[in-house]
Amino acid sequence: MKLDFYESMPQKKSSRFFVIWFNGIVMFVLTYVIGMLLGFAVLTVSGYGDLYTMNEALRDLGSVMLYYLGVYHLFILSMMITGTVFAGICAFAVLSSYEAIIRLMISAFKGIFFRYNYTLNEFLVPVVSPYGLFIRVISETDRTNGDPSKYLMMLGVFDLALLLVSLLVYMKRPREKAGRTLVFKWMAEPLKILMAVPAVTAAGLITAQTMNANGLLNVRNMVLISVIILIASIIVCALIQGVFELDIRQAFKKKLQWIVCTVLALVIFFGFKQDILGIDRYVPDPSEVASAVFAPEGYDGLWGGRIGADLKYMDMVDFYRENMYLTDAESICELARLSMEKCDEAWDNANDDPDTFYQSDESSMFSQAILLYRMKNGRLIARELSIPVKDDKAAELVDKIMSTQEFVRGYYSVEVYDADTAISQTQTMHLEARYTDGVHDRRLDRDELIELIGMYKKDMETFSYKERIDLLPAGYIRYSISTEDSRFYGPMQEESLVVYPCMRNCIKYINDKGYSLDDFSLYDEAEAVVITNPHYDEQNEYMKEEGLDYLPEELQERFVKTREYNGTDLKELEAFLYPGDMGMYRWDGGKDFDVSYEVQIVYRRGGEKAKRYGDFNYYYFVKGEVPENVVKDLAL
Amino acid sequence: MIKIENVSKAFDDIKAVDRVSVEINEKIVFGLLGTNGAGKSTLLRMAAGVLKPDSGTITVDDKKVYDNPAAKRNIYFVSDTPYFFPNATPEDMEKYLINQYPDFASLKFARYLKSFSLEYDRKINTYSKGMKRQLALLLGICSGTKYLFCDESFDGLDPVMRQGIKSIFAKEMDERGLTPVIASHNLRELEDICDHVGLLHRGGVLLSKDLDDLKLNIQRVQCVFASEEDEKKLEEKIDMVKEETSGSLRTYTIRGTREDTQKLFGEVNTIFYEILPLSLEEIFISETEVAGYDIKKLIMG
Repeated sequence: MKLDFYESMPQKKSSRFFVIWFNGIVMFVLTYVIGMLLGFAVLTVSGYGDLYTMNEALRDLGSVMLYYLGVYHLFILSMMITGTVFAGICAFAVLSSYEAIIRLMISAFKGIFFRYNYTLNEFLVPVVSPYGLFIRVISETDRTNGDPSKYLMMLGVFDLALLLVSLLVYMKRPREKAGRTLVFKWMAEPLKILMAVPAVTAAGLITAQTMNANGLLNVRNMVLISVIILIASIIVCALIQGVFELDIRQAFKKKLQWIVCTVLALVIFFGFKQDILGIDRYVPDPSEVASAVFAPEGYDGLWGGRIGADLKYMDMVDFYRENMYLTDAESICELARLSMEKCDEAWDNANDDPDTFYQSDESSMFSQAILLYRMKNGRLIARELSIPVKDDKAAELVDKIMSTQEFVRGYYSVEVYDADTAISQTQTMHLEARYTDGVHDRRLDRDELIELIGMYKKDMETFSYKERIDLLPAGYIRYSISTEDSRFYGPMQEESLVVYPCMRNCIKYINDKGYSLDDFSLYDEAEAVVITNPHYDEQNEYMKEEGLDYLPEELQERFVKTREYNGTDLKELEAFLYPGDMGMYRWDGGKDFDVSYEVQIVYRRGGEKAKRYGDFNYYYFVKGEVPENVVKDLAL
Repeated sequence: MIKIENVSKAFDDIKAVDRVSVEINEKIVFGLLGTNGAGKSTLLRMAAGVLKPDSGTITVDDKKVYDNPAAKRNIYFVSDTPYFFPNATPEDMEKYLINQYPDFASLKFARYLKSFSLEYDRKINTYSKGMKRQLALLLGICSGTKYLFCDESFDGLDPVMRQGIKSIFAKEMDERGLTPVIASHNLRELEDICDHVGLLHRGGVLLSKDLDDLKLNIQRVQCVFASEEDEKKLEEKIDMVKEETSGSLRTYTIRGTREDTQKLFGEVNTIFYEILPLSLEEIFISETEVAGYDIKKLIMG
């Protein structure tokens, strides 16, 4: 009756559409503006209201408005293609989440079946969605050099397109279809399939994930997964039929739907499993690569995201995307190919069994790196590779890639090259800087820090990946920046630069200033050195032979050997021991600590070190440099 | 004039209206008769531009109706269940309709409301069902449109109100040429209002005629013939629709004017004959029985 009344009025359908559309906008804008003005009034009364805040709020109104329009138009479209409020709300939920679910599923498939997959965060954010586009606008706005205008424009185009589609559907929508689940009958079957296939595929995916987690994802179980997909098809199709048509009797009679859903789900599932599109091992043609990123994960102790000079956190990939532009695509692609070849070989040797692979010596020759190819056509391809850093050819290629200023400037852009900007802010902030080995410190003032970083930059001009492999750090330049507020929850920015003995300018500056850490004497500080070799390998072998889960208490003495050294022994040992901090993770597979020996330095009671660190501190020997007498003393 | 030409409309597999052609002339009260599901409401909705015909054309004063405000400005549609805005008063409805129909007669509306004892500023949701129907009809009448479509709008109106609406129709027809089109499943409801009746059955038009023509052109005569020869002689001359016999008493329903009938019966030797009045119901029964339909089942319920 309501429709009869309105549809019989002398108005064009399009005018009626726009009147209702406009009412919805007015309601939103009024509410938003009133809320904004009230908020601003509260801020002004509290003394925080200023023109800048008002300007920001008004600018946000524009982007929020575009976002609102997207959601609003999506809702209108949902209502236009359905005939009841319930069906409309369901359609809105499906339209809102469909792309995100598909992206999540693709990512999950890649996670299970692809060895070199790396899912960019942005891949999970939908593109054909107001939510996704708005998230991109926000993240661009938050980024230091971000420019949200591209995404705002896309959001605007999306809004407009949705509006036009909604209008078209409204014009085509027969009035008498109100009350039906779907207005256009021809949509019903494709929609049911489109909704059922992801749900059915997800059933296979979840089963595969569970099997994968338990190491059961083998060929035999693929048959089981196929059966689960078929059963899921029948159940999902029945559910959808029940909801769509409210017809339980027909629920289990749609055989064609089952077949189509099962076939499509199996094609998707096994398509990913067999990687029929060759996505996982794809290496682009170097001539198609505009530039690339090579990010060795954890090299020089740098992990994950970074806090930039503007004190804003940046995700790892975002950081490299913004800062690293490598042009030697040829070497990067060759390294990618070689790495995958070696990695596949290693997995084949381990019969694709993760336990066997990670316990093998072969696994230790690999280090992880993120590769991003910026293609000339605008695409961005991301891969996470295991680089066989101990393979000669691979090491050559890594050296070729990393020993370039393009790499150095990108990889160290925050810690080294933006350091001046960051430190210059500390006129109004708190700066703490030191040269340290993790135990001993030399305090640096602002000027000294700036000068030392200047030296560091000079040394980086002759950066050589290969040269550093056989070197242990000489020390670290560490600095932190904090504000009054941030002192409660930690520094705003904290950086650590590794100083290698080959960095002549830094070492000279440190020595000239008398800041060398070699002057500290362990002999003067320590009362004793307690060295333990738990012989873990032998322990494990024994437990394996005896079928034990853990080593019984009474057998501990048999394997765990400990010896305390005092007096003159200390002087002899001092040259071989390094503070724990000096043994960082060696991405390059270079000089490293021998972790089978645990060394405790027991400080003199009442001494300066005991006051600072407590009774003891951990030190290590370097692999292959454990004194003979210690090896002998702690042998089984 | 409203011209409905070869119009069809189906709802999925159900044909609601099947190739209907009707013409509705101005300044008459057109009654659209038919059983439930005959297609009356669908036809009226299509004529009002609410529904789009699957095929065929509907024009109002030579203008296509669907999604055409120019044509729809001449039509007001009162649906079987009148719609009013939530919490609205007659005043609110009037304000809205003034925007849609510039010729809305506000003064007249106030006057009619008063004469029907409907309060101008009372919330419509507190009105009774009959009052709502009256209000919907009055809003339609006062909208100033040339055509007023009433879908079962007289159901539930008491005879006094029906008479009141009927006299308003007569006045409006006289003053500004209003053409009401009234759909109903009950012939008795239309008998005293309509000038022209269209009978819909199973989506098609069974009949469309002026009531006067119907009434003037069909007669019922009771007679007793002097001889069988007279009877045969007369039956050869008359256009007989129906014949009933009770002993020697014959009852004929025949086509033709009263004068022609009198002349025909005057020419044969009858012991007695009498021309009896026919109700609209009886005329319909006679007309449709010829076409093979049992009208009693169709519209008398």
